[in-house]
Amino acid sequence: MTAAMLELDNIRAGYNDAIAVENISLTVGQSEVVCLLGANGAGKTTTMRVVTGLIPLLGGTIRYNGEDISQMPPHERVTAGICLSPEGRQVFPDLTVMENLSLGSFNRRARRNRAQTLDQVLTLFPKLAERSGQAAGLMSGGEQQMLAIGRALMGQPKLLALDEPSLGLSPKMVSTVFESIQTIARSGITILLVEQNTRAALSIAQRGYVLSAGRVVHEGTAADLAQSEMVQKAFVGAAFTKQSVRKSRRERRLAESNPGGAGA
Amino acid sequence: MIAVRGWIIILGSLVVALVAPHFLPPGFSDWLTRLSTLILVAASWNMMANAGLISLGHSGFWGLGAYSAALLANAFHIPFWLSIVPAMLLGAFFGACLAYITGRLRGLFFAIATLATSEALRVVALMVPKLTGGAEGVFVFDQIRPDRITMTSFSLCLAVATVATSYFLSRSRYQYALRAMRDSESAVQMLGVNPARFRIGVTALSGAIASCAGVITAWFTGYIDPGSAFDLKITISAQIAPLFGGLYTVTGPVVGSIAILALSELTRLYFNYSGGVGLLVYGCILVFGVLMMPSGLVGLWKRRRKPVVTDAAVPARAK
Repeated sequence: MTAAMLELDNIRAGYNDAIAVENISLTVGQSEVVCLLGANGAGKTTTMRVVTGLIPLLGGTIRYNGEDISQMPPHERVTAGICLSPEGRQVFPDLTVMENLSLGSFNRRARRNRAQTLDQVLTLFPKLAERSGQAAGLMSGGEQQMLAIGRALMGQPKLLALDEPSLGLSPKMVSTVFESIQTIARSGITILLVEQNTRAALSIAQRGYVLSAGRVVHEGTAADLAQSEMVQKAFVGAAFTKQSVRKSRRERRLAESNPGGAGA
Repeated sequence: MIAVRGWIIILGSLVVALVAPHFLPPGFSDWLTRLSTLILVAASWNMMANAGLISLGHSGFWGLGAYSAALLANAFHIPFWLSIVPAMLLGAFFGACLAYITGRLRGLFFAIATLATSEALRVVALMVPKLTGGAEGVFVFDQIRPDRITMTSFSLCLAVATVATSYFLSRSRYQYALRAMRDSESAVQMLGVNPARFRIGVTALSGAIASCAGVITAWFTGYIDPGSAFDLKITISAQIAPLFGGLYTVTGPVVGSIAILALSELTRLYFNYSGGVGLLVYGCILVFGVLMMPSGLVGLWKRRRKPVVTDAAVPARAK
C-alpha cells in the first residue's frame, strides 16, 4: 500500500439521535481501489456521506492527503478533489446531459480544463455524447448511472467516491459500468467504492472493508475477502464460487500487466 | 450571435420605454407604471422560484422600498432617480439577511417564513408612527416629485433592465446551478457548488429589484401607508404573473404581467355595474388559465411552434 490518501480515524456519524456508524477507521491509499461491503443499513452510505461532508461528523477525524478535513464544507471538498457519484444517481432530470456534466465541473479548479475533461468523459462513455442534448430524466437507469459517474469525473477528482453504482441495473449493465470504473482506476484515480454487489466490487477492488451495524467487522485484500467464509455467508450467497474469484483475479493481473490502458 | 440580438432588443425596448409615454394618452401612464412595477416583482419572484425558493414575502421588499424612498425624500430631499439606490441596497440587504436567517428552510417552510417576515414588517410600520407615520401613512414631499411621464419612462426602463438581468442570468453558467438547486440542494452541494452562497445571492438580487417597484409606487401615488405598501396582494400578483405567463422563463413574467393587467382592466370595464362580478370573472379566468396551461402562455406558444418535442423524447426512454 502506498501513502494514505484518505484516512478515517474512529469516525462516528448519524442522523438526528440515531448513530449510524461508530468507530469506523479505514484508509485508502493513493491510486488504490477500496470497496466498502455490507448489507442494507450497515452504514456504507453514511460513511460515504461523512467522507464527502454531506452530513456532519460527530466524532473522530478525517484526513485527506494528511490534512484534517473533518470540518471542511462539502463544496470545498469537491474543490480539493473528492467527488461523489451518489447513491440512486441523483442526476438532475430536467437538465440536459450536457448541462448535468457542466455542473460537475462547476468548481474553480475543474473549470479551467473543462473542455479536455469533457472529451475524456465522452470517450469513456460514448453514450453520453449521443444523448448530450437530451433531458437526463428521460434516459435509462444505466445511462443515468454513466451520467452520474461522468458528472463526478467532470470535477477532476483525485478521490472518486462511488456509491452503489450497480443499484437497479441489469446484470449486463452492471458489467458495462464496472468495466468503465476499472478504466477510470487504471488512469490513476483513487476510488472508494460502496457496493452491495460484492462479486462485482471485489472483481475490481484491491482491498475491502466489511461493515455491519455501523462497524468494520472485517478487512482484507479483495482475494481474501472473496474467500472469506464470513463474507460469503453474509452477503454473497451460493452463486459465488471460487472459480469466479480466480477469474476476477486473472482479470486484474491482466489489467496490471497492461498499464497503458485508456485514460479517463 | 444570440447575445447580439439580445442587446438589440434590450436597447430597442429602452428607447421605446423612454419615448412611448410622451406620445400615449395620459391614462396610459398610470397603466404602464403599474405594468412595470408588476413586471419588477414578477420577474424578481421568478428568479427566486427558479432556484427553488418560493417567496411569499415580496410585499415586504416592496414596502421597504416604498418607505425608504418616501422617508428619505421627506428628510433629505433625495430625488426620485437617486432614491432607487438606497432602496435597492436596503432590499438586497434585507433579502440577504432573510436567506441567511432562514438557513436550511425549504419549500413550504421557507414560504411561511417569508410571509411572516413581510407581515412583521407591516406591523412594525404600524408600530413606529414617529418614523413611518403609523396607520396615517406618509405623503411624499410634493415639490420634488417629477411629472408622471418622467416617472413612467423611468419605471419602464427599470422593467427593461430587470428583464435584461434575468435574461443574462439565464444564459450564464449560474443558471444550471440555480435550476439544479431546485431539484436537490444536497446533490448540487456534492458537485462543489455552495448552495448557501447562491441562495443569499439570488434572494438579495430579487429583493433589490422588488424594492424598486415599491419606490416607483411611492413616488407615483405620492402617499403610502402600511396597509398598501405591505399589501399581501403584491405578493400574490408577483406569483400569478409568472405562473400565468410561464414559470421559470425569462419572458413568462412579462407576458403574464401584461395578460393579468389587461384581464383585470377588461373585467373591470365590462362588469363594472357591480364590483364583485368583475373580480369573480377575473378570478375564474386566472384559475382556469393556471389549470389549463401548466407551462403558461409562453409554454402554449412554444408547444404550438414545435409540437413534436415531447413525442420525440418518449421513445428514447422506452429504449
